[in-house]
Amino acid sequence: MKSGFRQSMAWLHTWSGLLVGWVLFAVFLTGTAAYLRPELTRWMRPELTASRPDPVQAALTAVTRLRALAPQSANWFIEVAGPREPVTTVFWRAPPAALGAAQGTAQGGRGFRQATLDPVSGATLDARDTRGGNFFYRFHFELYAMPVLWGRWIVSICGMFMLVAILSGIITHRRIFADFFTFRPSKGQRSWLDGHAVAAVLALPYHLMITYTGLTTLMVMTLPWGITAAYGPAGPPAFFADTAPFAPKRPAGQPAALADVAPMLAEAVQAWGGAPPGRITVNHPGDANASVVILSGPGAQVAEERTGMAFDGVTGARLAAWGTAGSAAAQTRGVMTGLHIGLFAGPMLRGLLLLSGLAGTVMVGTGCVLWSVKARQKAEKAGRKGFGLRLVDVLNVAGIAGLPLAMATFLWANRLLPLHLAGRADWEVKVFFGAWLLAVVHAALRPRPAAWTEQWGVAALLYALLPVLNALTTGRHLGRSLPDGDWGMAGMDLGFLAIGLGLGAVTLASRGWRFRLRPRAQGRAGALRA
Amino acid sequence: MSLATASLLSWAAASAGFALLSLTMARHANQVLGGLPRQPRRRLALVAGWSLVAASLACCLQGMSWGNALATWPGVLTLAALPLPLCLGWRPRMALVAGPLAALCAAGLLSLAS
Repeated sequence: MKSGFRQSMAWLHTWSGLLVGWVLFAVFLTGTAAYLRPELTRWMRPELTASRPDPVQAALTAVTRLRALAPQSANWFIEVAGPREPVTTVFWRAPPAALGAAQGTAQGGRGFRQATLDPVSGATLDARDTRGGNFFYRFHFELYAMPVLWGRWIVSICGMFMLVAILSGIITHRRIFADFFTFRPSKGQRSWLDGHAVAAVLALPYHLMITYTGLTTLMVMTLPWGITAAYGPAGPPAFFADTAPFAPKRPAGQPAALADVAPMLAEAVQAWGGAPPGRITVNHPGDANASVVILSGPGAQVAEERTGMAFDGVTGARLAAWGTAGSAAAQTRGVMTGLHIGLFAGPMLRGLLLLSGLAGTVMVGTGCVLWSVKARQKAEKAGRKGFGLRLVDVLNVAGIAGLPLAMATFLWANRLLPLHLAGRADWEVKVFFGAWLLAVVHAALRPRPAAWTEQWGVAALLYALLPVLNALTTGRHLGRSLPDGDWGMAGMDLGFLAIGLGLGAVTLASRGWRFRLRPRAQGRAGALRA
Repeated sequence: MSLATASLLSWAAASAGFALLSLTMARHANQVLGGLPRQPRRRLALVAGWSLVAASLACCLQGMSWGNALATWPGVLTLAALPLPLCLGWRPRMALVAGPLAALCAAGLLSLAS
C-alpha cells in the first residue's frame, strides 16, 4: 500500500485548506485588523478630539445625560471612555411610544438608539456616521449580508477545517526543525512552500491558540449538546441564567426615582483597588425595581470575565458582587475568550499579536497559491487547461490581493463620502464590496502575473496615500497629531504608510513571482527551443 | 524589571539565540560562513543558542505576570525568528550581524527609556 499516514495527512491538509482557504484568509486579515478596532474607529471619526477623562467622572456625566435623553427607556448601556476610547458611547432601548428620534442619535438594530457623548461635558458629539473598526470585527466572525447566525456557522465550520489543516500540516511537514529558518526565494513552488511553512511554523503557537479559542468563543452555538444534556429542554437560556452573575428583576410598574450613581461607582472602584469602570447597565430606570450593574474595564488579567457589582437602582444598596474567580470552567472559558480578543494586551503585546495575525494571513494566502501551483503542474502534465484552475487563479488574486485593496477603499470612502449623506455608514460598506467585486472582474480579465502586480500596486498606493488624504480632508493629520502627541491618530497614519511601503515591496516582488516547479529548467527548455 | 525592559531583553536574547542556532545548521552555516564550524565551536553555538532562548523566557517571566508572559513569549519568539529566514534567503551575510544588532537596538532603546 502506497499511501502511508503522512500521505493521507498531506491529502487532508491540501483539501481541508483549499475548501475554506479564501474565507479563512478574509477571517484572518479582518480579524487581525480588529485588534485595532478602537483605534480604527477613532481614525474614522476624526472630528472627535482625544482626551483622557477621568472614567468615574465620564460615567457620571453619561448617566446624567441619559436621564435627560431617555427617561422612558427600559435599558441604558454605557461604554465609558477609557484609554483606547476617547469618547463615551451610550445605547438605550427606545420606548415603543417614542418613535421620533432625538437629534444627533443614530438608530441601531432592534429598537436601540445610540449616541456618542463628550466624556467631560456630556454633550452629544456629531461625528460622521461610520461603522469604523467594528465593520472588520463583525465581518471576521459573521461575514456580511446574511443572517448573523449563518455567518457564525460558516466561520465556525471554516475554523474547524483550519484546525484540521494546522494539525495535519504539522504531521505533513517532516522537516520542521531542519527547515525552521529556511526560505529560498525565486524558486517557484519551492519558495511558496518555504514561505507557507515559515509563516506557519514560526507563529505556530499563535495559530493553534487563535483557531482553537476562536472555536470556543462560538462553542455554545456549535456544540450545544453538553448544555442540552445537563439542562434538558430548558437548554441554553437556563445555562446562561445559571452562569450569569446577576439577573435583573422585571419592572414593577411603579415609578421611583433612580438613586444617585456616584456612591455606587465609588464603592465599586474602591473594591477593585482603583480599577476604573468600563461598562454600566441601568435596568428599568425610573421603576421601583431598577438596578445598576457596573463592570470594570478590560484589565491586565487575561480572562475576559470582568469583575462587576450590581446595585438596587432605588435604594442604592449593593445586591451582588463578583470577581474573576468563578468556577474553574467559567475561568477557563474566560481565559479562552480573553486570549482570542486580546483586550488584556498592552500596546507591545498587541503589536506582537498583530504580527502573528499577519503571519497567519500570509500562511493562508501562500497556502492558497501553493495549491494552484501544484494543481497547474498536474494539469499541464496531463495536457489539460481547465476552467477550474483559471477560477482558482482568479479567486486567489481577488481574495488575497483584492481584499486588502478593498479594505483600503473602505478607509478612503470614510474620508471622501459627503459628511451628511443619508446612510453614510452603509455607503462605506458598499464601496468596500464594490471594490472587492471590481478586483474579481479585474483578476478575471487580466493575465495572472499582471493581475497580481496591478492589484498589489493599487493597494500599496491607496495605503501609502492615506496620510495625505487625511491631511487634505481633516485637521487631524500628522503635522498636527505628532506635535500634539495624539498617538492614536498619528499611529494609524504612520501604520498605513508602513503598510503601503510593505505592499509596495510585495508589488515589486510580485513581478518576479514564479508559479511553476522549476523556473530555471523551464527557461532552459525555452532557450533550447529558440 | 519593567514590562518594556523585559520584552526588549527577551526579544534581543531570542534574536541572538536564533541567529546562533541557525549557524549550527549545515545549510545556513554554508550560506553565512561558507562552511559548518568545527565541533567544539558548533557545540558551543548550540548551547549558547538554546541558553539565550531560555534566557528570553526568563526575561518574560521576570518582567510580567505569569499569564501575560505565557501570551507574550511566543509572540516575542515569532518577532525574533521571522527576520532570519528573510535575511538568509536574500542577504545571508546579514544574518551574522542580526543578533548583535538586536542586542544593540535593545541597549539603545533601554538607555533612551531610562
